[in-house]
Amino acid sequence: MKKLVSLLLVLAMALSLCGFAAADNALPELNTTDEITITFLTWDDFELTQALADKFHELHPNITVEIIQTTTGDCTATLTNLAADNNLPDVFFWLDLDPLLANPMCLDIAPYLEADEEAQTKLYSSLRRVGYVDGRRSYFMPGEFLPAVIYLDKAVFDKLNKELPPQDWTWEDMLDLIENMTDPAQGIWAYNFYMGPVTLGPVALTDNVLGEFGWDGENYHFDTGWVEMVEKQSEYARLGYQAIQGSDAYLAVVPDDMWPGESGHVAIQMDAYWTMNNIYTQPAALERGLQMVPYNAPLGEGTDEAGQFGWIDMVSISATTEHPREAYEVAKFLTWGKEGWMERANLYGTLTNEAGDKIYRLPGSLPMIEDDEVVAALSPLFPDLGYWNDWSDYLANIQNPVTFGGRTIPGFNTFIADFYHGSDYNGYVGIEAAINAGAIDPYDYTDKLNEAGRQYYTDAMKVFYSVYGE
Amino acid sequence: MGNWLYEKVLPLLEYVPYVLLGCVCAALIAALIYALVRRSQKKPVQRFIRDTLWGYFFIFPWLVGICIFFLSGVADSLLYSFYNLKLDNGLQLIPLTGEDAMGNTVYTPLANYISVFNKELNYPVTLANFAVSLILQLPVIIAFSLIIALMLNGKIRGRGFFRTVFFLPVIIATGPVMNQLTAQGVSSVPMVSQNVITSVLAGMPEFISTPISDLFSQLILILWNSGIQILIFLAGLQKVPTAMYEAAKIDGASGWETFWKITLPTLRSMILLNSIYTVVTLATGSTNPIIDLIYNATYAVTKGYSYAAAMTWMYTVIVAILLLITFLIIREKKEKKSKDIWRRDVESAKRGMQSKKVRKLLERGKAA
Repeated sequence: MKKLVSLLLVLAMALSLCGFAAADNALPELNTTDEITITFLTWDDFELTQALADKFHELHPNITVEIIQTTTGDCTATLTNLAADNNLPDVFFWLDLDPLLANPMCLDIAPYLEADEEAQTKLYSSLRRVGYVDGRRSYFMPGEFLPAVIYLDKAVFDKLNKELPPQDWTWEDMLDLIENMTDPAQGIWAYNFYMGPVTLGPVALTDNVLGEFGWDGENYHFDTGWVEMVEKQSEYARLGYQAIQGSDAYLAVVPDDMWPGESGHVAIQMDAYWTMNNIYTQPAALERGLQMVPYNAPLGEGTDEAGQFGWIDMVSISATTEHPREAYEVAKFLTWGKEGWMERANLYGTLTNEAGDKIYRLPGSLPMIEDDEVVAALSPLFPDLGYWNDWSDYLANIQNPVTFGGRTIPGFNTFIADFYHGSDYNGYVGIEAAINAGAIDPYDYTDKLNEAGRQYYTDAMKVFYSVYGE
Repeated sequence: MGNWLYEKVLPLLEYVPYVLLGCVCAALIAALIYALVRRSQKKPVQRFIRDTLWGYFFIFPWLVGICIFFLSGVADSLLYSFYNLKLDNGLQLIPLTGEDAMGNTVYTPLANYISVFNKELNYPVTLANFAVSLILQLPVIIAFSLIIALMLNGKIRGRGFFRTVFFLPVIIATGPVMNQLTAQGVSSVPMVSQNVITSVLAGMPEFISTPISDLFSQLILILWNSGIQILIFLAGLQKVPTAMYEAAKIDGASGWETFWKITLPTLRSMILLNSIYTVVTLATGSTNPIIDLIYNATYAVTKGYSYAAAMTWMYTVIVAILLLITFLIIREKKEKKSKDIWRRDVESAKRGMQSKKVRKLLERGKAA
């Protein structure tokens, strides 16, 4: 009898454990059937966001999504003002992590993310745990992805009788091109940048990277990669490889001082995804003969898990929301979720402005999940540029997106403002200014930067624990 | 001390603007009642009350606005600087505490101010740079606006149009517009090469060369900040009696002499007013790096609102000192405030402006 009871107990325990595990792996059903409103703060295109919100309401008729519009410039002030007024939106985009750590504004969404199979399997692996501030609790998730894009002007390459590199090029290939594409006789500069080698390089050259300057989750890696890039960026400007707007040399070739990226005198423009929609597919640029071919930020040779830099805006759920489960569903649908992206693909192809013109010449942002159906839905929306149409190759080479430190690394902004750009380095304010002036050897400062970065992170985490608890 | 401050004094700060507003209202109502009573008794109303009541009546909406929307914010920021402010279901003010030598918890209301001194290594450097750039920019703005005001005060065709043009930047060049213009490189004079300026200044110490270089790189923006000053100078110029200029002309004074002996001395109070206005504008402008520093501190995880409020109040004190110095340098001398100043000024101006030829003739006459 005792044996039978023991067996039954063991069986019951095993079953309950199975049930527990099963419950852990499934996202719970939406909690309410009452009419509710979820507020959503965003700076994204209003027409698109509203259309997505309407679609969500169509799928969940009891949930209305109310969009609160802001701008990237006003976002932090708007958000903190709403929090001060105890009126925080249920779901909100944000730009700067630090105020969220210093004030208990965000809900821990780790239980939802961990129970969501789509989040665990489809999100890019570099984004799955991006919001796990302390490794256990997650206070945000990716909201919008706009990769850094390296544009190569095919017209300039043709002029110099150079072949375009393959889409799976390496970081070293890119540097090689930069060092060999300047031709003063033809008024051609090798490159110009919005985000340059110092920002993109340490991400591209460090394995298992999670953030800027080789951040691995606990430490920065100001090492050989950073030193080489900061020196090269300085050298490229000094040697005249970089087109510098307003400089005498540039004005001699481009008298109207047009932005180098659209002047037709630059072979490589290190820029952002949105420039394709806003400038390079516009009639004015095409009439001027620009033939910009997009490339992903390349990875260093021999790196397996290095990252590609991109603009990834994050989204959080309010700590004060009355409907956390529904807020998570809204956040997912309007940001990275597959269901939302299928609808988004439809909207990117159909939304028009008041004049009846299509708003998007190509998808306004890129998915944060790896899913063939989403890629298939988006692919027809990329335009045939005439001179180039290899979008599938471009999309296939996106991997491990990594974003700004200020959005993912506690204390990053203070470290950069106070120490990296703000401290005195041999009579110069900011380390890059000192390196550019040849006043210091960057190798002498790598340890100091790593230690200081670690200290700023530790200080920020102390504040985080005091606010959100241990 | 901290305990007493937190329990008794600081909570009162929030009421200060409203108490002020109450006082203003009470004074106005009392004056109004007094005036009405005296009038009903057919007694003369005191001149002070009669003259000023209408003035206060007209600026009353502004007084209400400044007490409710401005002074309340000012009082709040002072209050926050003595606390640790958190956004947790609204605003939460947490008293600042530390440990004394014995390990006991004590209130430390000045902790934010002390932290600013200890942590903000860039703050003194940025403040010093601001002071140097202020010294360089102030005379440029004052001189430019005075020259333009003199030109606009002359009888020229399309005077109204030109006046509008010079005032227009004040209306359109707000923070975002300014930032866009700066980003698009229209802040400097195109024909002035920044590289040449930098190479000329190369031998100078950085704390001098940087502000001078900045002055040239932002020359257009600085001049665009002159609209209000031009308007004030114009108002001042139009108040100078034409009789003075006519008298000077009869005495043979040249335009140059008239400017130095009549126009400039008459505008002295306007120069003071404009200088103070300019210092305040530059100190609070959106392109001021100190404002950036304070703004960044507001959202920094280890600093925050209260810390930034402490930085702001320290900056306010420094700007107040700069204003005091400006005032002491440019203010009118005390004896000039005597009642017969106008007559003496006219006489001295006349004496000073007699041309050399006239003076020689007079001297010869005296000698003969």
